[in-house]
Amino acid sequence: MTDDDRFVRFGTALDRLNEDEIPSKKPINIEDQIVTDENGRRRFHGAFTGGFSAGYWNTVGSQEGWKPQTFKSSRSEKAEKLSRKPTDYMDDDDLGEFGIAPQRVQAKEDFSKDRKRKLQQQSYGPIPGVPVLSQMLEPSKDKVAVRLLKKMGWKPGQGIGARQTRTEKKTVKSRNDREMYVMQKYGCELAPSTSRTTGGTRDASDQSSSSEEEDVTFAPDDFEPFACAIKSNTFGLGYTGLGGLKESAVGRSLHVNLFDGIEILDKSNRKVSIRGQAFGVGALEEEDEDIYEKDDMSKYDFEMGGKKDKKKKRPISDQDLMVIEGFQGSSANSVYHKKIFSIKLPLSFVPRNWLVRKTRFAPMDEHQNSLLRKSVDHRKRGLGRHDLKPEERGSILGESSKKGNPWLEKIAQRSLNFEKSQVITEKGEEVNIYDSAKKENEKVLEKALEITKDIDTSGVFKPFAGNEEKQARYDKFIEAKLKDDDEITKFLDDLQPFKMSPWDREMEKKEFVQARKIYQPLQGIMGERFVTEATVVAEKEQEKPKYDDKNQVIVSRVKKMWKPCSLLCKRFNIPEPFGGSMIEEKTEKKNKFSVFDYLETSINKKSDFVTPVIIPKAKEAVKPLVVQTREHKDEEVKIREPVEEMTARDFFKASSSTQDVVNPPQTQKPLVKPKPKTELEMKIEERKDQHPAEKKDIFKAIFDDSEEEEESEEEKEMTTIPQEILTSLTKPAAEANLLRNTSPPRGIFAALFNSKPKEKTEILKENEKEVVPDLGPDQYGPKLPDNLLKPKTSDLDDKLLKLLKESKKEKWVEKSSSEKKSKKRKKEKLKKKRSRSSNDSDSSSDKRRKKKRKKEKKSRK
Amino acid sequence: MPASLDLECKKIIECKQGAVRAVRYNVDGSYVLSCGSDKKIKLWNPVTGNLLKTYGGHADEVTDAQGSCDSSYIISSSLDKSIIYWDVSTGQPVRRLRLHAGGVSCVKFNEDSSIAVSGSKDHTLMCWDIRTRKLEPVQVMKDAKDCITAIVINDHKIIGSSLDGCIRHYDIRAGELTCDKIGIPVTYIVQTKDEQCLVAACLDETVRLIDNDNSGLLSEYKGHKTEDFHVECGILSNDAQIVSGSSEGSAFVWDLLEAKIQQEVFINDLRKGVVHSLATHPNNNEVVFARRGDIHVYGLG
Repeated sequence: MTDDDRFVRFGTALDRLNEDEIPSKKPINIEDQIVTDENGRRRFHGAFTGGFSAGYWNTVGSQEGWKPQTFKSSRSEKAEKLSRKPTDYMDDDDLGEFGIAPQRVQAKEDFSKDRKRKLQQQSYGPIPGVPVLSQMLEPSKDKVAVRLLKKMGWKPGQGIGARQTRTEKKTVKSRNDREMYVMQKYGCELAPSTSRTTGGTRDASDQSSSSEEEDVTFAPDDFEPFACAIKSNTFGLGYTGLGGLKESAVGRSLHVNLFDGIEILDKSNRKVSIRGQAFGVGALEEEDEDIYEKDDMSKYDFEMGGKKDKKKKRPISDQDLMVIEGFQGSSANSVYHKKIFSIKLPLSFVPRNWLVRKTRFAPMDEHQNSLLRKSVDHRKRGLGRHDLKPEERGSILGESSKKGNPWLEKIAQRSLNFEKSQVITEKGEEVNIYDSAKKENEKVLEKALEITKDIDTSGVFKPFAGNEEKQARYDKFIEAKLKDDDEITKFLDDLQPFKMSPWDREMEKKEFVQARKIYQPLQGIMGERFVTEATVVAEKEQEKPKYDDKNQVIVSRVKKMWKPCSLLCKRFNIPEPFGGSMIEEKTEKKNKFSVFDYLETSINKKSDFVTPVIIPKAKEAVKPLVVQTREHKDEEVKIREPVEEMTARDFFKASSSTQDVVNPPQTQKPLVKPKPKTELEMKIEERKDQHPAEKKDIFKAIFDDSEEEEESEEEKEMTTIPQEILTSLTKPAAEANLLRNTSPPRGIFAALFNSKPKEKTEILKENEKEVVPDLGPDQYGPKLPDNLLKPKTSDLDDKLLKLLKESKKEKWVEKSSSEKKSKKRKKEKLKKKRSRSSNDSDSSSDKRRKKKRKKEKKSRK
Repeated sequence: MPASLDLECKKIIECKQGAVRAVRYNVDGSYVLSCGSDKKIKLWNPVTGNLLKTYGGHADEVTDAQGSCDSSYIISSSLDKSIIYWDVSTGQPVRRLRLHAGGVSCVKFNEDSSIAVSGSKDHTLMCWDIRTRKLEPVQVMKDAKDCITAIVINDHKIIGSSLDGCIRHYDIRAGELTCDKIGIPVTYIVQTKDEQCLVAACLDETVRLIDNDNSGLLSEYKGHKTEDFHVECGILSNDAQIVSGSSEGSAFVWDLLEAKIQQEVFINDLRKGVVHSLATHPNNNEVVFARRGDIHVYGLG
């Protein structure tokens, strides 16, 4: 027999170790043993590598990678509102057994064992809520455990366990008591219910006698297990503080106010309240047993001679508890209130509310109907009050009908057959005042008729009816319809009696005139106000403009100049009339408003500015502004006002157009009279066609540099320049005169403008060369470029220059002092020159300056 | 004598665009434009009565329209003070010209449709260069003292009639403005084929024939009723008959020379509705009348 036979084997045996063999593999080190999750991933990492394995390889991604959800919403498929739960952001691990949100079935927080789930019953009846009957008649239904126990022979009130003999029971009970005592004394506090139940059971068992036989077994006592209250304080075990004896149990507030009155029942059942500090443990008292006990007045004796039996004094007797004699009040807690009785309803029973119709439209039960009617009937009758007559009501109320005022009675009686407009006299007679009044009225009317008999009301109103003669005169006066004052007097004079004084006559006349005004016959007054329809229509007809008079329509023709726009001509494929040289209509373009307008206006107001008028020869050209009149209507002819401020362009246009204009056959009116030309202008005109080189003097005159002037003062007298031209030419754009024609220069000006810069540069060059200027006796100022120095056929002589100066004085009005500083210097010079040239009243300072300059000049030389 | 033939109704087209404010033939008379009070212009085939296109874009009633010489554009004027240059085929506005200060009452192209001239209630005539994109008029004529009612353009003249009783000839070739004062508000003018005379509808219920050269009043045509309406007149392409609308639902045809009523065309048998606008066919002897919301095509027998 081997060992194998003797033992029972469980499991699989390990391979036997061969002693020769050395285990090939080392056991795995503890640190190498890793925990893996169900996917085989390492669950716990080192602290430095992240700790947990979470997500997809410790990322928030998935196998497909991290994919953000794109929002999509179309007409057919509306985007759903996504509501995220916390679990959406959790890993599987978190939801597992050890995760932060383990998934398992568990009771809800508000789950309680003793509350049964109620079957939601719908109430079909009229009364809302759970039907009363079903509340009353509850089916007897015990808990499963109780039913099982009952089946095994258990009865309520008994303990559980095998049946015991008396002695056994006693020992068990004593043990229980002891345990309870121990628990009460030293153990934790007991739940309040348990402490009481123990007492009750004890009583019952006490009654049993000890002489019972052994073989009689009893059910074991019901023993409730200890329910220990949870200790919620930090006091020692069993400490109850100063709480009252009764309240010393658990969970009560331990605070006792000693200074409140304590109420105690007296010997004669009177309430005695004791207040103050006159109680407590005396200083000499030795006993200090129950120091934690609350001092209670019940502990004190209030009468001489020992204690009476407490039992009699027991405040709550059986009688108080309404217990029938022979019975005892149950000391057990009547927790279980459920009524356990049931009625068996017949199977065919269908509950129904008889007062309620099934539908509103179903006919009502006849009986019910009558009942209902009865119940509602009082509403209709108003409780029957209104059916009673006043007398009946009075009799009911116990009122006796009294006799009132005899006068009132009378009136009441009479008023029954009272007629309109009757008066009750004091004697009680009735008099009809209506009839009497009627009679009186008639009388008055008759009288009135008599009075007004002779007044003719049908015709014109007669203001002087009292005086017949006067009235007659008035009638005649009215008939005469005189207007003139003299006529009236004459007329009246003839009528009026001879005896009347002139004053009376005058007065009468006035009266008549006044009366005529006031007492106009109605016809006349209305006649003024109203007009027949025919007249209205006639007036309207008159108002209508009468076009149909053929003779009035005469088509009159007026002709005047009209310049079609060049583009219009182009589009119509027509050459511009007069070669496009017609004077344009004054097109006052509305300048767009600008802030800078204000800045400009201060300097360049139109009124301030005097246009330089250099009137060329062509001036005498006749304007092609022609007004042609056929009907000789001169008043309609609009003569264009001679343009005061003509731009240079206009001039030249006008002048050039003279060649092209085919003179209309009608009379022409030159609109701008040619002004008498100055000599300078004439000269300029003469030189206009000359070669530029020949015109150098003019250029000189115009474009001499200011610096040069300083050097050559003597020459300046001869070659003064209209500075304004220069300044205006050299001005920046903003400063430039807005009124000036900005179109490219033509004619002489073109030449001027084109040649200007060239000249300047050359002059500058000359200056550089001119360290030692060798000036011929004839030459003044800077040396002119060689190519310009051609044989002068016609130089402007001194006289011309003088004239130029003079003309300049006339024409070139000095600008306002608000010129720029840079120009000021030039101006000063100009002034100087002028003053010198005109009258030799040189200031000393000027002389000094002059000398200085001369010196400088010399030193340079 | 063909002139004695009467006008007969050939077609009635219900435009369904409110009241028809103006009716116009295109350059060759194959299409008809109707300007509605519902701010739309409609292009019709007058023979079949088919609606070809609707042009919407004006902000108020359309008062006048004209097709360009190549029939590819339409210019229209409206009471919204604007002039719209339309593309016929797309129906889209190519240009909107709004510089008038009042409602534009009439608009016309010149012969090659490069210039449009518009007359407005602001008393001005404006010449617009249609070829360029410029939104400003080439020229503005401010001579009239009252609303411009009609414009006639020939190869060298712009003629405008006004309610101030004048007809102004702007002669581009001569560079002069001739003002013929009739003294009675002129509601419409048309030109004879030979461009020698003007037919002017005046507010005194008279249509006048005025010589262009010497402003002589050649003839007067009476018998119709205009009341205060803007009633248009026309001259048939044979230059023999003058047509005018009337306020009593009819149109009148006069013999040009004799100035006698040749025919009263009862456009509405009940004599209701003003026949205020009409257009004569450029080649055939046809007339289109506008009455209320309909247009009536009439032709000589």
